[in-house]
Amino acid sequence: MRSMIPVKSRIIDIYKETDDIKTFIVEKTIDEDPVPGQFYEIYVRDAGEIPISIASWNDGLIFSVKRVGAVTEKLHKLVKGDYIGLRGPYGNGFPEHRRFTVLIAGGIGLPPARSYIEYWLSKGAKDMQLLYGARTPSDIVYKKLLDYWSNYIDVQITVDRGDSTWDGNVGVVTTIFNRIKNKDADFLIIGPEIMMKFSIIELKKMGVSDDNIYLSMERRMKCGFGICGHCNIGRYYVCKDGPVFRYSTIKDIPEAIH
Amino acid sequence: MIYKLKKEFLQEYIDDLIKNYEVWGPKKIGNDVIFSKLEKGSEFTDERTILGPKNFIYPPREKIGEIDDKEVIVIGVKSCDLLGYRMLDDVLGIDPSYAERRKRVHFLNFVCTEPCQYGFCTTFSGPRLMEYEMQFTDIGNYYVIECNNKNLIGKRFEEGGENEIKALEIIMSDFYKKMPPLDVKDLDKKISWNDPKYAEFAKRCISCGACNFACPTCFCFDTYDDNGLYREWDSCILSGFTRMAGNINPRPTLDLRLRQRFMHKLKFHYENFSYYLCTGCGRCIETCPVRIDIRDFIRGV
Repeated sequence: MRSMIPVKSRIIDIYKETDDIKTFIVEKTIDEDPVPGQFYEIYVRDAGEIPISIASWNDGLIFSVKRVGAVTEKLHKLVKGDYIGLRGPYGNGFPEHRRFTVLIAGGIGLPPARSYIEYWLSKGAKDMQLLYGARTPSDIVYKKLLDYWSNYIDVQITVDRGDSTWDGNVGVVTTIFNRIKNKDADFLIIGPEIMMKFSIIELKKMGVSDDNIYLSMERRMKCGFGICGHCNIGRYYVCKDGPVFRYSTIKDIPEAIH
Repeated sequence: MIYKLKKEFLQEYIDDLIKNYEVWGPKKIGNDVIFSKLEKGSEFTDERTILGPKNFIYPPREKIGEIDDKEVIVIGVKSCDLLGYRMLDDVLGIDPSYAERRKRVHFLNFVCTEPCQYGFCTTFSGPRLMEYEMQFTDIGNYYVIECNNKNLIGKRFEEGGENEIKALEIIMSDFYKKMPPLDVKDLDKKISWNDPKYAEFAKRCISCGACNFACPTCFCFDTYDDNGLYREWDSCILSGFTRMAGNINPRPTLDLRLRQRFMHKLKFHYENFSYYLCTGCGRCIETCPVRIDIRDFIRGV
């Protein structure tokens, strides 16, 4: 959808995931179906527009949003039945599933990973593994889904700081890289750039080639289709050439992973 | 088609245009020359304005979803600006509301016959364009008019031919002698991420964004809510340009933002479109309060 005019969409339901993350199920008022890893521009009245990755879709579109800035703050205050504006889907999305794939998701990077896992599970692909890092046990989203996925694929979770309820791994996501089941795989990294940076260092040590590492990048994307000029990484526009890039494509661009 | 028009008939031609269209052109107001709505042909001057008429196809601020549907003629746009708008078309043209407005605006450009103080248009395509709706060149007693829009032919236009083309060529060859082109061959490959000029410029730059607003090719915009969704010209020099929620900023310092400005124009856009995103209009140099000069940058690469 190459237009700046948002399409009005009703919020069908809202779930609270954590203290600062909510999941919104929104009426699908745009015919075009997304592919995993794409995003929408969400317009919240009296606040503005923000790019949010699609987490899942069926009759409605599902977005999980962390409260982190002015627009998400306002979005979190909306209730079932309120309206938002939608534009999209935008971007290239993740590469097609072609062989064993390891998803490395940090924090609010899990919702885009979910779009990939659900989509390919529904197509019968089980050769996937999820490594998920959250700040604390109470920051973990999609707890039921994580349990459900572990019936089909290997799911590894770590937290930066544990608590009395937590008996799993404590440490950043790279501390569970020794559990990676297959190094001859595609690696999809979704999360903060600092996490990408250290994940890449570790993957390189394991002998993974730059061509097999994919990064889901974030920038201040205001339009979604390559005209507003905010999301350059060198010659590339994250909104239309990305948000998913092969590491080999952008690794020599100085401001790619800053 | 090529025509000629006695210079004394230009006012009458503009008067005739005004009968059928809303016509805008440069007009002297006090000491300034500003693009204004023309009530009569005698108000027109072909002097250079500080700002080009980019706002006709791309308003500095607009409510998203609302567009003006009137047809407008803008006469007296300089070739360097019009060339810039063709570059805007390549980027913004996929936006339906831009495309809608664009086709209602007719630019009639004037070819400079003398170099301006900061211009270096000969580096890119020179003042005589290959693509235009109607292009005027002052050859003394006459304007030579190159025309691609039959609807705008005036009643006093006389058919031109080889003599007029020859006159244009002489004027252009003289112009190129007065304004020798800069060397931009392989600039896209030679330009460096680590050019010391970025830091040097950053020491002087006051982050005002005038270079962006004066530029005929700058297309970046921001969107924001103000009782409805608006879009507004943005500037890559401003610190908030790339700042995301959580105060994450991929270009936190001014040298990185200046680097983006120069590299976007002279490398990234070239890599995507095979031409530099600059027309040599010199407006960024002219409006810069600390005289950051893109010509110096190009010469230094």
